[in-house]
Amino acid sequence: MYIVCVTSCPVGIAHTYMAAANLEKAAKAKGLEVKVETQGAQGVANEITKEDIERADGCIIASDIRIKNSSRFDPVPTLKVSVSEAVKDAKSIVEELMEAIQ
Amino acid sequence: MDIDLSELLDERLVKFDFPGKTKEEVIRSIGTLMYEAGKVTDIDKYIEGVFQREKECETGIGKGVAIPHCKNDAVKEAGFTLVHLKNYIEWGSLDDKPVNYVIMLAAPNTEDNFHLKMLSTLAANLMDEDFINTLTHAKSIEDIKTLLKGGC
Repeated sequence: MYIVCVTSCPVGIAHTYMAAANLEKAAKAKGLEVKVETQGAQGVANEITKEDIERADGCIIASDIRIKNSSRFDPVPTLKVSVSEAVKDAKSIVEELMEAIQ
Repeated sequence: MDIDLSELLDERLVKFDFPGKTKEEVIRSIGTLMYEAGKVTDIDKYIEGVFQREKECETGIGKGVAIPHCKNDAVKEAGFTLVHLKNYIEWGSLDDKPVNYVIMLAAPNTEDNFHLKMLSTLAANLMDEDFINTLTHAKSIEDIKTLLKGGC
């Protein structure tokens, strides 16, 4: 299973990257392949491409603000959560997505 | 790319047994440390930015650690504090527990991605239980340097 994630927060120096680290760790712990795009003060990093989206089984958007270019995820089952939730408990979020798409 | 976070470590911003009874008091005194170390040019404006961020979303991340932060024009150069408080204080945390370790981040309003990357690497490292345990139990600046040199 391949999942893609986007994280973002208002200031873009801390929570975006904590959420990204957690989602990546939680997904890998479940044996999933994962790619996490960060939209922070440094701009967009590790961008999810069209090819990623074609291959993705699910998507997690962890953000408190509108993310850039969100319509690209329209074809993929997407779970939206706040960035704090991903900092607090990424494991539950990944599990919820897995249940929803299985 | 391996990032050596110890490069951004400023010994003037590392404190043990730091006094303070309330979140407001602690943010103000740590802001003063930032100002005295030359990271911040306008202390009121910087602190206002930090409080603004707290209003949007409180920054206690659990395990007794909080990471108040802001990115604004009052910041001259990127920096972070590692402040071990003498007492636990109420903060507003994801695990609803009080805080005794404050990592305050200051980011300038520039496109200086190198230093922003350092701050965000530090934040990401805080999601690692071993990292956070070692950091919050460190007794000296040397302990902290060794930890930070480990990179990401």
